[in-house]
Amino acid sequence: MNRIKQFYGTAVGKKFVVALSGIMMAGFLVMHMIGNLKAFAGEEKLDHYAAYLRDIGQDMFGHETVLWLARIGLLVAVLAHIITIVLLVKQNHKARPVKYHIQKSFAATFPARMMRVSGLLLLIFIVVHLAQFTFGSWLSTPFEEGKVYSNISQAFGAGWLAWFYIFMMFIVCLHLYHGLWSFFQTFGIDNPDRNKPLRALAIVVSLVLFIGFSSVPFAFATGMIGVAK
Amino acid sequence: MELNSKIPNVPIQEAWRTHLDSINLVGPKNRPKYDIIVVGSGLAGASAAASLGAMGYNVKLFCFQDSPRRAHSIAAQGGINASKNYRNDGDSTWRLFYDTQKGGDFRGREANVYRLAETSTEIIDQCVSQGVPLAREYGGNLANRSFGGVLVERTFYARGQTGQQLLLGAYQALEEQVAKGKVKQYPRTEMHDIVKIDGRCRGIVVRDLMTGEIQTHAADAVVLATGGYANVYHRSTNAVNCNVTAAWRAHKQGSVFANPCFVQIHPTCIPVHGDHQSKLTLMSESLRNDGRIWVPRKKGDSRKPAHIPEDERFYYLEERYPSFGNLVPRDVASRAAKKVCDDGYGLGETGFGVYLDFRDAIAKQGKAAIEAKYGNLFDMYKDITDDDPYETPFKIYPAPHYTMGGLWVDYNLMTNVQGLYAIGEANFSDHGANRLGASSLMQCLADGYFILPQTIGDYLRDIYQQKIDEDHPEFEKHADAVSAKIDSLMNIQGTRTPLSFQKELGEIMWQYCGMSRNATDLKKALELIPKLRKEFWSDVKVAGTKDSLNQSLERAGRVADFLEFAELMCKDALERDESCGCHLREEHIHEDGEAKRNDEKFSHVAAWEWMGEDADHQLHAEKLSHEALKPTTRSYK
Amino acid sequence: MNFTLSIWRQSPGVPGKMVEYKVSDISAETSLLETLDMLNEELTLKGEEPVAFDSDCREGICGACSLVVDGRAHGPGKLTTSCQIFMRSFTDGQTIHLEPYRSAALPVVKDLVVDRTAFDRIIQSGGFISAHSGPKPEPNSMPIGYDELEESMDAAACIGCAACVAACPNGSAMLFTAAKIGHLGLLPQGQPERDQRAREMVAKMDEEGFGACTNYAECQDACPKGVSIKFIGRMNKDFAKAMLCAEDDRRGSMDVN
Repeated sequence: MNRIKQFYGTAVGKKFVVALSGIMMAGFLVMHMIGNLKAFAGEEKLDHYAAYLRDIGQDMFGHETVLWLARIGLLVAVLAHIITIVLLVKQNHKARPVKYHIQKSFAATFPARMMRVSGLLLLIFIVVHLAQFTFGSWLSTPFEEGKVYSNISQAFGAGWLAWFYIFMMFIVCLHLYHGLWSFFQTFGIDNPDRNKPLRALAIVVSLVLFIGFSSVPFAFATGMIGVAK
Repeated sequence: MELNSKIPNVPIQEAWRTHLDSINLVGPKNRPKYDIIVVGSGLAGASAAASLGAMGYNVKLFCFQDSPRRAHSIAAQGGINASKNYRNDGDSTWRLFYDTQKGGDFRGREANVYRLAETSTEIIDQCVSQGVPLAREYGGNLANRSFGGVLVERTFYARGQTGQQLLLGAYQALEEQVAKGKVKQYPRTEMHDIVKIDGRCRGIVVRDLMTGEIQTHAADAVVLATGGYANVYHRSTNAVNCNVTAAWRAHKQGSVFANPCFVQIHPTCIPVHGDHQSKLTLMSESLRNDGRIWVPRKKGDSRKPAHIPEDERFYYLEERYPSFGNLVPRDVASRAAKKVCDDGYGLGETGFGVYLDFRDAIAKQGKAAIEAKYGNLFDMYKDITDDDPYETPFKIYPAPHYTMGGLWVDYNLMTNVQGLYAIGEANFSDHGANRLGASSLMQCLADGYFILPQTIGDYLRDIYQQKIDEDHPEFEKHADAVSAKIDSLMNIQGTRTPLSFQKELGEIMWQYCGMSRNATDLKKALELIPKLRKEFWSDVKVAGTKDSLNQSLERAGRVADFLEFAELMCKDALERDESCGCHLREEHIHEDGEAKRNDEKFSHVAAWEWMGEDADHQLHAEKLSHEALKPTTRSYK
Repeated sequence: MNFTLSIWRQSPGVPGKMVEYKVSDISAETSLLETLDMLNEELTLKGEEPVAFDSDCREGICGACSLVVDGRAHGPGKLTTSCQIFMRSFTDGQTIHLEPYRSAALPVVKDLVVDRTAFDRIIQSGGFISAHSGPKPEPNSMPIGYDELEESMDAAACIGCAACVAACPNGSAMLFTAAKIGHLGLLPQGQPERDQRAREMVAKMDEEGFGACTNYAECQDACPKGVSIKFIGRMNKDFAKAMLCAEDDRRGSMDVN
């Protein structure tokens, strides 16, 4: 335990925590996206899938237990990610107390430079998103527990919200591109001769997620799918 | 004064072992009772401080750079010699000894040179153990390259950064001892004086360059590893801050200075382009393997080199030295370049430069082959000059590079001042009148890792329990003198900058005591230098204050010492009325233009003793023994 | 050529500021540091204090020079040091901004001079192979593959100039530390101390007040010797292994004295 404390006490240790929690969230995003795509299969399939999520492992652990374990795991990852980054940002600010008169960047990619901004936007987005579709406490659109298809249909049918979601998916994609590549770099998987394929992989994964996620609100907003009004 | 070299009276092959077996040692329990000061953190200083610290002594290490890792050993490119005989080409301790002694034109001390050759293989073992990444072959064994002037492949290297890697190895060993508390390092601290008490060196006076504070440090022995004095020419291949100050101030406290006129001028450097240039960059000697050196036959020919037809090109080395051609040794190549330029054939506005042309090599071997061999050098040249040597020839000119002279030391590396040691380039060393390529790194590390740590005990045991600390009145006296000197520099407030004096001195030295010398010129220099020195002390203007970082003051102090040292250098050059190695006296040249030694009169180390500000130096000649190797004439025709 | 030099001037205990100086009749082949030399000559004669800046070898290997030129560590161009910047890289009449490195761990001493002793302390914490001078095994008894050796040399090429810290938006010293851990860790000689080296050097780096890595790769871009950020990945792995998997550090427990 002492060693883990020491490990987390260093900047390198924290980087691992950021990378690991990040990759956990990225894994979740992939599952989430696959689930979302069920929307194209119709209302029944999607709602059934939503119900299935609550039933996973129910014969062994009881109703919703596995779901809640996953939720807690995810929450821990999110918190670890955020807290660690706050600690690192504090360390970094302390390390450069006086700024340069001429500030330029020469190597950092746009997504890399946007990490803090995109991360903050995502945090806000997660709150909004959970309020809207998980807790139903954000009442801008009608919400009924268990009626996933109808909930999102009504939400995205409104149009502007769909475009907001699509924009946020772009931010996710931006964040994920640098995050994913950073994961390879932090874990020492990157190497100059592998850098191009790994960068490409990060782009592909981010793009797939962007397209996969955006396609659902896009389809609802443009009326390709959805419950009749 | 009698100079006793303490070389055991046995054949040179047995000298080092015999000596080690007969000297005093300090036991491990007693070593922590001794304090040793090391000044300078290059290969010699860092390796000595690390070794002494590891043995248990308390070491203080001083350097003027911001970190010990920046000492100028770091700039050595080519390699380090060792007689490992890995190529199975007949190398041996004897052959390395022979090459070094012959390369030095038989003006080195036989026993020292032999010891150096003996130690060379241990250095490689030591450095590899420390993690110095010396180049390997595909099979995993150490690689070698060949270097000028010898018939075997014995040079070990780490790309073009051998000096850097060896220095980092020594620096890391040093930092390990710092972490263990056995060495305390004082970066950005410059030595200003040594303190002698009862005829023994018992400490130093330094200036903290950050605060200007004058400090005193007492010790049982002081080791100077402060490098060479090539910056007496202002522009050289040395780092801009290299200086003679530590050695000179020790000299003025009684340490005799040996062979100051022996200076190596490296033939392949990027020429001076303007008055404000601060330094000359060396291009590796290896370029002469494939490049051809020439100047236009027509004086002041302003055509582009590519437009000058073959029969109008003067390949002067190939014409004068048909068998060695462009591969004559450094001193010969340098002097030939100087001659054609003095005759008016030099290139460009300054007239000081010759072409080193790869046109024919590229035509014959292809650009790819040349790129593979010399790519990094071509790039480096292009970065500096903005000329592409694949398209247009290199322009090169000789530049001061290494100084064989230095503080006189005995076989233990102790100067004639008891308790004061000099190692590395700072001592008059093992290179005689000319150093072979890849030998300076070897000497520095031999001194620092293996010789000094073993010989210093001989003296230390001798002074056991005579502890002296900084409260001794001599320390205050010396510190006051140093402060007074700094005050007087600050107070002149004349009209010329320290740099302008260094430039002027450099020009005098280059013109009158440069690559070839004669009595008339040297006498002229001996008139000009005291005049310039007088002007310096009445008209120099030092900016800023003495109690903070002041690079103007640092330079002023160094120039003041160069102005005194330069005179001794010219005196020595005048006194040595023969040609040998790098020291060419125009009065003594064979008909074929080669150096003519005078072994009857000058087979000695010229050691000069300081007799006071107003008195002349006194010469002490240490006769050289030639029992093992009879001197012969070098010829490269 | 004529230029305006906007230079950070700072004396001990006084807050610094940018001050403008004009320099004229500079030839294109003059180096940036020589231009500063010339400015200093003028300032000295005018009775003003010259600009303090670090430099020594002036051939790009000692690592002393340490300017930030127009927002770029060392100056325009790749694989270069401040001393190898020539005035032809600027346009006539241009204003050139010269600043010191900005890092809490490398405090400004005066004008453009910073204190880099933190780097020495990082090396002290483990950047070495303990091998006291004395007879050592024959090097060829321990063959080292060509590629391994060359990769180690890629890392060993670091000149300790700290441009990586200056260029990193976080003021991180990861590239410097990783280069030393990589250099020694890739060699068989470096294995016995590999774990403790990674543990202690990484901890020291934080202790000295350097920032963390966010994979911007600015350090790699500014590095005059082209040291790759792959060594940072290597260091991370070494560190994680040393912290989470390696045996306990037993140094100290064996001393009898």
